[in-house]
Amino acid sequence: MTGDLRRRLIKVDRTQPWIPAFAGMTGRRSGMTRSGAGITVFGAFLLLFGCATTPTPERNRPVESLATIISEVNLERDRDIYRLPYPRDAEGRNLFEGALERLDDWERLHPQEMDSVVAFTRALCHEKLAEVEEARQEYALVGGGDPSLAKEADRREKLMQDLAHLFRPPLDLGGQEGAFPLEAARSRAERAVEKYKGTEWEELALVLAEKQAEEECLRLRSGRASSLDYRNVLEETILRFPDSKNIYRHKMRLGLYYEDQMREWIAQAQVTRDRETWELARDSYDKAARIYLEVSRADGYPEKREAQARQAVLEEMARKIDNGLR
Amino acid sequence: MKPTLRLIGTTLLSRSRGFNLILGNGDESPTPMRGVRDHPTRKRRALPILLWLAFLAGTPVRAEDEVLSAMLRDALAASLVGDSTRIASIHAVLAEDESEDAASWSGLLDDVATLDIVSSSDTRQEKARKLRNQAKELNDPVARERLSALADRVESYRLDDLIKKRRWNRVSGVVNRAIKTTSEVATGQPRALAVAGVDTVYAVTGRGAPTTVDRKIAYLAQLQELNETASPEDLAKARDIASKLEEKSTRHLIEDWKDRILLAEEEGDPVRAERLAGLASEIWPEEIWFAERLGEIQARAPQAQMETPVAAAPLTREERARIELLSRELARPPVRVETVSDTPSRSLIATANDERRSKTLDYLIFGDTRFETHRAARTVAAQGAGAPATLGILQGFETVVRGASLFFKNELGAKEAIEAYAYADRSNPGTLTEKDYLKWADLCAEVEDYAGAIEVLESAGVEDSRRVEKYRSKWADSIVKRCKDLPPGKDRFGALQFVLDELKGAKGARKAETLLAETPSVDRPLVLIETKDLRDREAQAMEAGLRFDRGWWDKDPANGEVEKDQFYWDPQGSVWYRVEKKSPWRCVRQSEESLPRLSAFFAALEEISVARSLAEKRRGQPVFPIEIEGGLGSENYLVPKIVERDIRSDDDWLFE
Repeated sequence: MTGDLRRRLIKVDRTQPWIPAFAGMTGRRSGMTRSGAGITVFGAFLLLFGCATTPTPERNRPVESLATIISEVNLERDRDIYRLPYPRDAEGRNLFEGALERLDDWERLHPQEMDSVVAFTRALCHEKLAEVEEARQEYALVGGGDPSLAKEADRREKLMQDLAHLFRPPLDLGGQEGAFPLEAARSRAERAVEKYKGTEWEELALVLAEKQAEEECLRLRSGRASSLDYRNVLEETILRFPDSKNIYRHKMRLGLYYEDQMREWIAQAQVTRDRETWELARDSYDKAARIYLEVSRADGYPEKREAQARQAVLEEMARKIDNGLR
Repeated sequence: MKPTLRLIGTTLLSRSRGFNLILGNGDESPTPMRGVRDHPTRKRRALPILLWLAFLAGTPVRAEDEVLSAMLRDALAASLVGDSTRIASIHAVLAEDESEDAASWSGLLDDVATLDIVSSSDTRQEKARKLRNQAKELNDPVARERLSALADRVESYRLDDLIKKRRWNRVSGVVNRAIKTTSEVATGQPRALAVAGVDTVYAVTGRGAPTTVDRKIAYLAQLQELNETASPEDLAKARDIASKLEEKSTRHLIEDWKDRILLAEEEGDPVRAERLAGLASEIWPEEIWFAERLGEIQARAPQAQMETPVAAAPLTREERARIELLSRELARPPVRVETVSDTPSRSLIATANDERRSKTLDYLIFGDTRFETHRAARTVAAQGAGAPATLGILQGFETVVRGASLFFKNELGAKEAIEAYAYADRSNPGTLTEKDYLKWADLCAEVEDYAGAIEVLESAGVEDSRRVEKYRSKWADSIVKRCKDLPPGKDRFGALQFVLDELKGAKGARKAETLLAETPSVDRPLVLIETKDLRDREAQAMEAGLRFDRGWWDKDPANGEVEKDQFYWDPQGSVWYRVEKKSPWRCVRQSEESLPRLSAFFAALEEISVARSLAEKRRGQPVFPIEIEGGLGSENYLVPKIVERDIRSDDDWLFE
């Protein structure tokens, strides 16, 4: 038997170097006995013409479902999540979010089965969704069943921990970062982007940095910061992340900022009837119009439709400015 | 040489711990099998294998399952760590085992093959292509549909596919055109040649605006540009396509912008023209037309101001009404001043009604599209001197069609008129007459605001039971019509129940009752399940703790079956079924403990339904590449036609 196994290993060695020892053990009868050529041909015939329409035996279906989820995630795991939009699954959902839901369902139906594989896949999904803390927690759950999987999970867990630390919320450490926690957070983000440049996690670091910049924009908008600060941070975000898949989202925000500003100037000009104020309104209009024109041409991006709609509104507002400037 | 044979204890004797035999070395990198024959520790390491085989001999069936399970676990783990060599080996061994012993067929070889494809070092485009082919071999319908849909979405594959399809459609379009023209000429219509000539000129000069597919190709090409993994050839091809389309699209935009400037000038609005020209010259400085135009407009501006010191801005409806009022006030004797307080409102209504009439007339005569030069050119080519008459006939025919559609429904200017009536009623209560209220209510009904229509009459105290009944009937009909396409759930249930409760007696109420009876009366979204899917996964259903009498779905008519072999799963924890069309819906409440597993189980069944609908959609596409077009009536031709490829997708709206 050992001889037979060795022969099989050597035989497959011609094509592949990494051979499972259980080769030949999966047969219903005894996979260890060598079948004749006739049986091989018959088997191949069955495989080609018989099995394609035969449903998988029920006992193997759970693995089949899991393999499908993993195949989907694996196909997209190298995707550049910073520059390219998230992949969609057959139902049109975000593939990674959908995979997380399906893995939850799979785990509920098959508790304690393939738990390391499930945890690792789930961690990959969180990683692609830029949820580093959740990814870290999932990697930590990967057990030692498969040494290579455990080793890889350990490596990734440490990486996620590092990223989570580098991108921790600005005020997390309170006084430790001095009087300028926001600046410290930004500098940490830049350090992280630099650190992971050229690695598998370059895009993830960029996405996290962009997310942080967006959060800063929103904080400034909803807080009591001046509108000038808000605009500066928006413009800076656009300049820092020019290749981002969200670039038109940032640009739309800037367009809306100028549109709001234009409305304020118009409202003021209607009271003061001052030509200079109308010209300021016109200046804001010009800026908003240029941004909307650019975004309205951005095929494939959802912001396109929004920009097209805003263009129509802007044109109506511009007529007021025209009347004011007559 | 490093050791090559090792035993990794994992999952065989029990699910958590046991044997998982894998050949490999002690470290993370796979070792070539060349070392197997030469390594001195081989004999020592072979001992556990012998023990293992002895174990297998004792419990053949269970062990084989466990081996398969361990093998697949290994394949999944290998694919997750990106070890393509290891997974390729497992695939090869599994394939060999199954080809040697047909009885060992597990139905999973295809899934391992898929893992092998996605874990390989191929480009994404190549992976998508292989996956597309592999999907056909998958015996799991969910995997088959999901993976082929996913492969279709891989941008580089999609770009390549779209370019091929567009090329195919262009070529087949030319061939179809040639066949049709030949056929028309052969049947005594020589002018078909002239029409074909016009089409060719338009096609060759590329006068048409970029199409959705052009835009989609440009977008995908742009993604290739961003994706640094694209090959230089793909990148060059993508750049070429994107730049051509960008040029075309910019040209169209510039032309459109020029038209807007000229239109503003024609309308006597130099300020707007100046604004547009100024902005355009900043955006496209290379287009000197804008700068020149801006100079001309600015040069004319002082003169224009001298001629007309106050430029005539377009008047709003309110302004027009006020001016009218002012002129009437000036013309009327002082004694009547006290009675004109409602005139602005009346005037607004009159203006709104005038605008509605004007819009209707415009639509009736000209339609809602611009004059199409291409269509006119084709008509001239086809009809020669008779073209004006033909164009006139076409125009006349379209006017009749539009008139017929307006007879049933005319929303043109209706909203503005409704606002005018509402404003009048609000600002001058008591101004509107009964006739006004009836007109206002009719307008509401025109825009399908039947609730508003009834409210107008009720709040004004106008009694017209026949009219109210008509609105109620139309209201019920419109709700029922919309509910036909709604899935079972809160919206559908609530809307139909409203018809039954509030619009009793209307004709639609009976239909609502029928529709309501088609699904269980719950205000939550339900999932439609086919019993055959449940039968296929019976063991899993029982394991999940399903409480649903097997007799209703065992396909044995002797003990009764559920209606249409379908039932509903309520995610809150119930199964809804009925045995006949007229029998009431019955609910089987599931136990709280098994709810999480049952939800997961039914989610899996829902995936099967989705896969089925995807497969149906795919099967709906034509397979045979030739179809017959035309007829022997007025068109007088019957020709074979090459079927064009379907290039539509659900994200087309992002490119319009």
